[in-house]
Amino acid sequence: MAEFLANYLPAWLAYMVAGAIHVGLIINLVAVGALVFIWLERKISGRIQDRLGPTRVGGKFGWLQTLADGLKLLTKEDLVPGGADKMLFRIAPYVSFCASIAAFLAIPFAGGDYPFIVQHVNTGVFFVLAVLGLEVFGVILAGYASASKWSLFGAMREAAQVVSYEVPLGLCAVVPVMLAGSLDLVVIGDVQQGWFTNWLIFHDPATFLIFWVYFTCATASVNRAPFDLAEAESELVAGFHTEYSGLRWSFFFMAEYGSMFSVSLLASILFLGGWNGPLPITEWLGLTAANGDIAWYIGQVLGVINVIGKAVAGVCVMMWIRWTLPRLRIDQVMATCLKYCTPLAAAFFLGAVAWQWSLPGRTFFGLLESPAELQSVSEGWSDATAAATDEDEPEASEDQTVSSEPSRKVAAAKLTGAAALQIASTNLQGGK
Amino acid sequence: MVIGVARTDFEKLEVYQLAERLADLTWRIALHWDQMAKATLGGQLIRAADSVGANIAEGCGRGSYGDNRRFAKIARGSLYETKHWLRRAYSRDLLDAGQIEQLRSIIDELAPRLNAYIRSIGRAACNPKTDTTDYGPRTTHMSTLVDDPRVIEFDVRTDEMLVNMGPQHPSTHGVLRLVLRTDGEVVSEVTPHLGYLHRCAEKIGENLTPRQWIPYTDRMDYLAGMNMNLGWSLTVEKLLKYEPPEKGRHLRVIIAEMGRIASHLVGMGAYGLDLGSFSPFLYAFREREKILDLFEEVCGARLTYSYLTVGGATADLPRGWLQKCEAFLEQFEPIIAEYHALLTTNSIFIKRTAGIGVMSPEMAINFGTSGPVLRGSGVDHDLRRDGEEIYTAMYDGYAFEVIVEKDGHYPKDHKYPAVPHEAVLGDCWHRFYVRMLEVVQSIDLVRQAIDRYSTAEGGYGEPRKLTEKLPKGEAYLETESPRGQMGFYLVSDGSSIPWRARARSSSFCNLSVTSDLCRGCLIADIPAIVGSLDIVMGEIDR
Repeated sequence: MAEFLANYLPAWLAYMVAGAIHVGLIINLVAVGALVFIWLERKISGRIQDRLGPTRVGGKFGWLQTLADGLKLLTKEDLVPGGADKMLFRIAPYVSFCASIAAFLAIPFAGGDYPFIVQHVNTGVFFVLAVLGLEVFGVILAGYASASKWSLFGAMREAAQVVSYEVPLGLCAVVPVMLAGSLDLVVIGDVQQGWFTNWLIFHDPATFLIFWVYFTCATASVNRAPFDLAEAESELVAGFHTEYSGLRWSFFFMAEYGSMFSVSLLASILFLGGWNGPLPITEWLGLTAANGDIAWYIGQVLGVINVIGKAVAGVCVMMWIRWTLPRLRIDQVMATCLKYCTPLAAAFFLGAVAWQWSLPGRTFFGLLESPAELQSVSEGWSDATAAATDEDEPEASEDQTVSSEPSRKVAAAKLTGAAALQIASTNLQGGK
Repeated sequence: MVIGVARTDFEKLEVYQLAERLADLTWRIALHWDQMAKATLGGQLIRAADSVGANIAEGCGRGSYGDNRRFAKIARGSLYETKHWLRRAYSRDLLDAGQIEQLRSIIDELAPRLNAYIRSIGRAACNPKTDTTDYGPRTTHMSTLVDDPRVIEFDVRTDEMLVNMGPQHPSTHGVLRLVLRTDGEVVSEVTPHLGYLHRCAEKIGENLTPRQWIPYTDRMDYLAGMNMNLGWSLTVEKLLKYEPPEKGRHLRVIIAEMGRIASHLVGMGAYGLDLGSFSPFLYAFREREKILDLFEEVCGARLTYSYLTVGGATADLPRGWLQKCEAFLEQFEPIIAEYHALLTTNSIFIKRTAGIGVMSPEMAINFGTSGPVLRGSGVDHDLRRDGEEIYTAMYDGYAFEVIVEKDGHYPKDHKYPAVPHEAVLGDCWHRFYVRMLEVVQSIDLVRQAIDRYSTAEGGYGEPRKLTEKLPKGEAYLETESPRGQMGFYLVSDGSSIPWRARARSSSFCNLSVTSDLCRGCLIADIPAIVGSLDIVMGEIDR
């Protein structure tokens, strides 16, 4: 978009306008997403518990309930406890919220040569996981700055929890990266084109099982029950946000629902085919770039609906879990993550490696031939096994064929997480 | 030997006793020195030796860890000073071999113990005799020596925090206040504080006739008001030597057992809340509402019924009520399986409750616990079977088994979920399980009572006159209320108003075990343990 605008505006202004549009879109997505999810949570919990949930605000189904709640929260007094570290106390919700939003910068909503993404980062998996990890700083800051013992307990628990789930979460994300041969989320999504049999979750038994490990750790990473120890209302009153009120309090919740959405999006891109539907409908209908821009665009929008639909389903499952299970204890959470999930993830990773090594070029539990997109990666595998020569990484060539022109430019920049942020803010591009 | 905090019983400290012996011994030795030695060395020596014990004592009285530690360190300084003067006395040939031996034995023991004492200040008091939980090196006693390997660990210990859980806290079941002494997540000491809901109900009972006091009993265990009404009515009837007609007897069984179901439903649902599972609470309340609807039809009230009263009940059951009640039981019985799926057999629930807060049968008896808390520890005692004649007469001829683990298994009259292998008799899981099984038992009892009630002849038992004079004397009766043995005591001087009315709360005794059960557990276990005791503060504070 920035390139397009640069034809009419000075370069710096073009980048700023493009950036503002992207950020506006992302904030809207997260905010509206949170709005919908909070309403959904109340409806789902209501139905699970034999209640109706909100029914009145906004006519039918109480669909404006969250907005009414938001207005109420806006009018509440913004309290800061006397003993609190006032600056940190005020900053903490924004840290969480910003981290939660920043993760969306590198999440693609549709793939292909011109993916729907704010900033095409070729280390997308790494970037998203790294930025999501920042969210806990807000929680720990809030607990530390509140001058309340309950908040402090919440922060300590969060700190203990974060070291336990990050390890297996990362291990789980490595498997799709290995199979797709790229850290680029667009590439990972695109290799799963075609039928649902090409989805990485169905690639082999190990990936099928590791998906559930990922989902467990993702639930832990967003502080959802049964891992909601940092706020554990029956033990710590309200944990890290005990002392918060009004809009600051709601920022924590926006962050929580935003992260739920982003880890579910990540799950759907890594394992569930991303923007590719279970059936190759867009191809049947000819909604591809070959049939002109409009057809391509409709196809992309269908992809966006697909990926968001899968993510919402993931969020709904998290809600279902929350309203069903009791809460674990802190030592049990750490045991679950470190003692069970980490070895399981490691074993499944090795299993996936072994499977791919012994059955390269096969998918759907080895029953079917891999699609062309996955084949090139598999060739790398068979080359490596046959010749074990020291040639260039097969992923590199793969990357160049699949990813778009601008993405190579970014690739050259050799991104780290921090540099990616910087580039994201100055060099925004995406779409067409 | 207990070490610790701002204590006043410093005489019991071993360090202090050693310091006393040292001071007295030096005095006795210096007494025989010549004038010159007394004036120079002797005075200094005795002052230093006296100062050791004096500072330990003063530190104890200060009431804060900081002060105590500071004074104990001064005592250590004085001890070193004493050593210096003794060395001088030795080099000047003022001590004989026997005295040196005596002094050395005291000092060799005192110095390391004083060090250990200083280190222990501020750490929780742990009594090795009552404390069976092993929580690592924190169980330290005075015998800890400086060369003890555990001492090194103490040096990196974290500070303890005193936290008020309640009276405003989501999971303290009303207005219970627990003061927790915590080190990180580990709780070393729990002190319950009561009295936030005290309403002088017993004093009011001395100013009202027995029937007028019935509404006040409703407000004791407000989750099982019917059972409270019953307890007081029976006590008064015991004094009056009155027996309600047969029909009234069965009516009371129906109502009391329905009350027990309603009460256990809250206990079960709230326990799910304590463990962070919200849905079972609403599932439980959905069914409880139906029972309350039935009660409302019977007496017009949904919480504070005042239905069962001295003489019988305020009214007979309305027409068609029995059918509705039977329909409810029919519909309710299969739902219990859902509760078992959500809680009893849920693996996270088992993880959170099995093996937590284990109470031995001896401990349960010693603390005077009763009801499901007692039976959860495997003590076969239920007043419906083992109580006084006037109470057990109500259940005459009813077939029921006491829910308790006997010979390694629970009653097999119904199909109950199996006991998980992690569960230990007397833990939170068993207390919860007993309640769940008692619900099934109560359903059986209500069904039997409905049959008997519908065939019984005669009246349901008219209430006694409000102003009826009570016979002179006293009566005490305990009944098996859902939470345990609820006792009422009544002394009459012959007027229509009791001279004294007292209530003995089961929850009060059940709560008294918290300090011991919660010692050394994690913060998350506190709601699990307190919730499993299923207390109602209205009954404890009265």
